[in-house]
Amino acid sequence: MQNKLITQENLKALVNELAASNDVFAPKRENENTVSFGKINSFDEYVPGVLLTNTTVKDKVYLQSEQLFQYELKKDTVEFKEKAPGKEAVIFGGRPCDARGFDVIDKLFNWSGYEDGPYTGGRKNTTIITVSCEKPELTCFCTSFAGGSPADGKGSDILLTPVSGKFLAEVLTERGEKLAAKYSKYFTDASDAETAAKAEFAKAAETKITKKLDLAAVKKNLDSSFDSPYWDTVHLPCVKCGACTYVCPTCYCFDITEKKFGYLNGERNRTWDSCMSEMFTKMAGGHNPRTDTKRRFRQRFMHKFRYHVDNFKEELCTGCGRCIRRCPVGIDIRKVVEEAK
Amino acid sequence: MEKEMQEIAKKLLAEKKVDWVIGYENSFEPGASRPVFINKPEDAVKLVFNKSCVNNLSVYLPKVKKQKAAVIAKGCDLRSVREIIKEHQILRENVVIIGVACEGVDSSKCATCRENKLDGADFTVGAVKDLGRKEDLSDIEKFEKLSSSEKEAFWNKEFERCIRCYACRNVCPVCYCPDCFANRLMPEYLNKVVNTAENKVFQQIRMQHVFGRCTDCRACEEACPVGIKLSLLTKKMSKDAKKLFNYESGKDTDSRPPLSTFKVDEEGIVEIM
Amino acid sequence: MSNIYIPHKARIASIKQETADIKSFQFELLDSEVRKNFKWKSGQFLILSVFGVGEATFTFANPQTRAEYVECSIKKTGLVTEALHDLEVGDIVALRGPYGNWFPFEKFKGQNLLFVGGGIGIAAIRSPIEYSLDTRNDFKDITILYGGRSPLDICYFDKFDEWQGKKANLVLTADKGSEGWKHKVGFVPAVLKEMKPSRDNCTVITCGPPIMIKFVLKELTDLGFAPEQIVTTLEMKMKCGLGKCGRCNIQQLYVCKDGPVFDYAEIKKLPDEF
Ligand SMILES: Cc1cc2nc3c(=O)[nH]c(=O)nc-3n(C[C@H](O)[C@H](O)[C@H](O)COP(=O)(O)OP(=O)(O)OC[C@H]3O[C@@H](n4cnc5c(N)ncnc54)[C@H](O)[C@@H]3O)c2cc1C
Ligand code: SF4
Ligand code: SF4
Ligand code: SF4
Ligand code: SF4
Ligand code: SF4
Ligand code: FES
Repeated sequence: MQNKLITQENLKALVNELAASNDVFAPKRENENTVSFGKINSFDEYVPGVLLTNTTVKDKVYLQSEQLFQYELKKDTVEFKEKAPGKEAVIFGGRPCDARGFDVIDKLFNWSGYEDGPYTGGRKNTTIITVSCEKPELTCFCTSFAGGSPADGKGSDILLTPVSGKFLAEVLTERGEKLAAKYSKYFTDASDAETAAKAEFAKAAETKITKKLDLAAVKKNLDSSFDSPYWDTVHLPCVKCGACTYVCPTCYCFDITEKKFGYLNGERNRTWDSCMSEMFTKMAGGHNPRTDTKRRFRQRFMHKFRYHVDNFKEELCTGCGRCIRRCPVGIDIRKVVEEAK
Repeated sequence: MEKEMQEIAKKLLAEKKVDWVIGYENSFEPGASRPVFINKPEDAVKLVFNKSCVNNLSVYLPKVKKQKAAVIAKGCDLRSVREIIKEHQILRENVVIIGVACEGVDSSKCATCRENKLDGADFTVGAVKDLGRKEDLSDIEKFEKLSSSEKEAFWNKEFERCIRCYACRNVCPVCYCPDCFANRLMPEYLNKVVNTAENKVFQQIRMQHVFGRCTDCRACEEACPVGIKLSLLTKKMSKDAKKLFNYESGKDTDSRPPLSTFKVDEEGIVEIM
Repeated sequence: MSNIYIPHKARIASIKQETADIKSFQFELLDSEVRKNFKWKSGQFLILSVFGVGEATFTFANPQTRAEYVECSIKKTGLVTEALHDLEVGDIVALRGPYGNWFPFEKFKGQNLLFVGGGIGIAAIRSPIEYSLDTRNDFKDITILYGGRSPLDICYFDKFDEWQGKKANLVLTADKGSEGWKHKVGFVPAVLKEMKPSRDNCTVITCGPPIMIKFVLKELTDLGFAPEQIVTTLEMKMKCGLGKCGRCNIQQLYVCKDGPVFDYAEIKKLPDEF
């Protein structure tokens, strides 16, 4: 689709109109120092300037806890009830690294010959309108990844980039086209000059990124460092909570558990899980292949920059920097993988 | 001050008095720091101390149990060190305490700090000043006056955000149980499902477990990735421990925490029946 | 878009107490369509639901050649397995699968087969044992070495006559014997050493506790077996069985998807994280 243009006022009107009939999730203030993706009822609740919301937007599609089905035991059988599909939703005001996270985990939820319905159902129901970043933070390193940029549209349905006081709207998918067509009154066609201005914007933003990883070197380091004494000490400051994995747009691990309502009925749920937790791999009888904290720490970095690359030819990371910012002890994933040897 | 701290650390490591020095180093942005473990004398130059040194490093001490460690401690952190010595999580002789004279870091607790004295430290870096700050319980008193439904509404809104990352537990110096109730399957105290109700159960049980042991160090609140106001709870607990049992955790290394003793008549508690 | 976590309904058709803590279950799938299409191969596993408690992973104990029921032999070790041991014939459970890879029997054709099992590991090799007996002409000698801690810990006494009738050489051992025990006494690896199996044209399929496997591998290596001749199954904690929940990995391999069957040559390349 041809690139569109939308003014500030029209964007506001569009978001308000969307919020009237859909669930619209956008960066929203929770308290004086917390901004997370929350349901907004009007554009005014949206907090535009924030790059790094406290938590990831992932949970708006891949819920932290999600009912897989309910069961009810009957005489000689059991009945299952699946929850009704959710409302159409819009994620507005996320950043390229947030949206790209979906693109990364989409592949996981579709591999191994099984499509994960509970995930892909939500994904198909959600339109993602992303805003390019003008001033990347010191924790941002999206340009390390193939195609990664503060103005990259991968995983987004529509990408908005500020140009000359308005937004250039790149409509990138069928879902995006559907939305742009439905609300065409708010959009005008963009000129070539405006499209060119976006390229300028991207270039300027990219130069503000202070850290770029050499991913080939990182992969090589990790390939050979599994048994290295490096891991004996580098993990020591880490307290093995799960903050880094739960705020990450690409961590996908989960647990499946049961909740009983009564003797005969209950529900099966899945909930995010974290390789940092001791329980993650602990088996009945107490055997745990990753008992010591060093092994759990190593797993996270190895998975993201080595194993996942072996399996999917891309890193399990979009460079959002959230795990760095939210880690209570400031573990910097860039430093950990770069210095592994 | 940093220089002095580095020299002490270097000497301790060079003389093999300790295996580790646990302190702060610069992190990813100007003025920010993070915990660091140092085991080579030449790395002691990495040590820094500034307003960003909020972390309570005493949490690491039980984890290096079998080795000797020196720890950089602010006055408030020292309380935690004393508390875990009292609870037999570490042996005093295995720990070298390098106290730093602190005039406040970027933490909510510092405005009312009266804890910057360094009694019991093996080394002190800098000169401790009387900061002239006063206790201020007005926020707690204000909260206490709310009705139960207002309180409930407040906490529901806070714990709706909780992602059960357990950072609050894992950074807490007195939350060291190897077999935390939150991990137990038999019996299952806590369902794995993350929702407001379960999240509140988690924090309620945790708070009960740290009552009278919590030093209101705020490590949990600082760590929480979603900014939950845990200090309202920890400050209230300190206040109540003082009022009900005339007990201040972390003040010394030999008194008994109030919930591990029993008296038929507790002076601070009025029985209604 | 399908919900791959909804299991197939099943009824417990029979329960047999094998030892103090192991029971064998036969499950009958309720839906006749599902029953017709539910096909597995020796080595694969399923995930069983006990309602009110949760899911747990078990190997198919019976082979595809005896697929009237789905059979599992299950040791009581934790939440789900304890609840399962409390169930009765007729109770409703559910299962999903089959998942994972299988024993590559096409590669073993024309060879001697040696099965070495210990403890609950026998559940995982009963299926390939019976499969090879049902396709007996494809193989030369079939030898089974099976050991338990004591005679009371041995499962499948009711199957041994049939196995031997189909010309399998069965060697039983107990770590500690007892009165009336006419078989061997000693640890599985020690008995294996004594048996001195020839490595020529032979494949070994082994399952058991990690410590047994470790010493069985040592004995086999001493006997000149090449790593490629030894096949085993690995066990990791599993939740999804689908390569998605992320916990059963050893490096880039997911045991639920790339395993659970591996040969020793592959295992040797992996770090000690299982
Ligand atoms: C491929 C495979 C085949 C298996 N086949 C058999 C078999 O034929 N017979 C048998 O008795 N046992 C078998 N096991 C082991 C069996 O899965 C565990 O004993 C069982 O899951 C324990 O569950 P629990 O709820 O009773 O224990 P708990 O300790 O209460 O388990 C808690 C949770 O952890 C998971 N879990 C715990 N231990 C294991 C484990 N070892 N493997 C996988 N998940 C685990 C369970 O799914 C459960 O949800 C097999 C394991 C695997 C991986
Ligand atoms: S790296 Fe940080 S956030 Fe992650 S587990 Fe360790 S301490 Fe927690
Ligand atoms: S690993 Fe860290 S930087 Fe990478 S995507 Fe996850 S949270 Fe962002
Ligand atoms: S294994 Fe760890 S790092 Fe990898 S996706 Fe799972 S939680 Fe994230
Ligand atoms: S740190 Fe915050 S989000 Fe994490 S478990 Fe504790 S209260 Fe919940
Ligand atoms: S304030 Fe929080 S972290 Fe500090 S002792 Fe109390 S409960 Fe633990
Ligand atoms: S069991 Fe979930 S990835 Fe293997």
